[in-house]
Amino acid sequence: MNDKNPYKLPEDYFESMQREVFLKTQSEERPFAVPEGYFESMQDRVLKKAQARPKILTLVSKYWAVAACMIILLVATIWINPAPSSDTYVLTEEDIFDLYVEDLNFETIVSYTEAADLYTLDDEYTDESIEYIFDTEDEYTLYEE
Amino acid sequence: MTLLDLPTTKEKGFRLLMNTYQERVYWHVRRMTHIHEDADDVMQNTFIKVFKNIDKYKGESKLYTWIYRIATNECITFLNKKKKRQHQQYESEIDMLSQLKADPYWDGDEAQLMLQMAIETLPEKQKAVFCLKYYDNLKYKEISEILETSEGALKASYHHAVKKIEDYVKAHAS
Repeated sequence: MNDKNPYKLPEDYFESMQREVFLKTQSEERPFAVPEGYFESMQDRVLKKAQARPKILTLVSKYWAVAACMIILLVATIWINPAPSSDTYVLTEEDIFDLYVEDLNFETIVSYTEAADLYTLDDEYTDESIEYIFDTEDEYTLYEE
Repeated sequence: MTLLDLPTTKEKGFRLLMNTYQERVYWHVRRMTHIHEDADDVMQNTFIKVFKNIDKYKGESKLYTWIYRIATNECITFLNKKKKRQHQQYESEIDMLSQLKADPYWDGDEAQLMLQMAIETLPEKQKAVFCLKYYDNLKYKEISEILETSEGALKASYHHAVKKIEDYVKAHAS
């Protein structure tokens, strides 16, 4: 039979056909219904929603919106950055001097001043300045280790 | 289409468009969502989008495939949201069964109910492929335009869908 048959079939043809026939037998009629006049009213309902304009703020309500925004901004600023309370003390320049500079003794201040002078006296490095730099570098290295 | 281009005639043109396609699109949406109330929600969203975006339709595909694409996307979005609310596929099936039985606009017998239940077990996109091919008799080329999927993938998806439905019905038929 196969030798005489020149025709070929798609793979799984009979299985597919059985499934198609099975499905056709399942649902001959449409089981769904719609309310009466549904399609007639649909156009109006869709157009009503599609053409509805978005609400626009009137001039008066715009002012209210701006005022509300400003109040919110003000409250938020105060909330994040409150004013110093009575417990908070703001440091003066005098306090800073007392706290940080007072502890330095006279010799330390002089040595800082001398070092600054060594750098600013001349554009070229002097023997002293080079020696000073080496000395201080050693100290820094020692501290780092 | 020329009526839809002008603001003065847009409404008239849109009514003509709806007259031509609304029933056909409705039945596609209804088969995807089953319940009339759900189908109505999807239909309204679909045609509102069509109305608002008609100027973006370039005429590269047929108008009805463009509308079908919007409708199918709306269906899939709607059904995914609904499924998230119901958490599980199983719950979705049971829920669908009870909703269909309670729906005054359902007039099917037990066999038809089982077929709808079987369709409900398919993933949303496969459900769309099955409905567009089986009920709407669209060609794979048209479905390919609607779902933006290759024809080969659609053929495979449809045959898998039919097999799943057959297995479901055989397993549940007593």
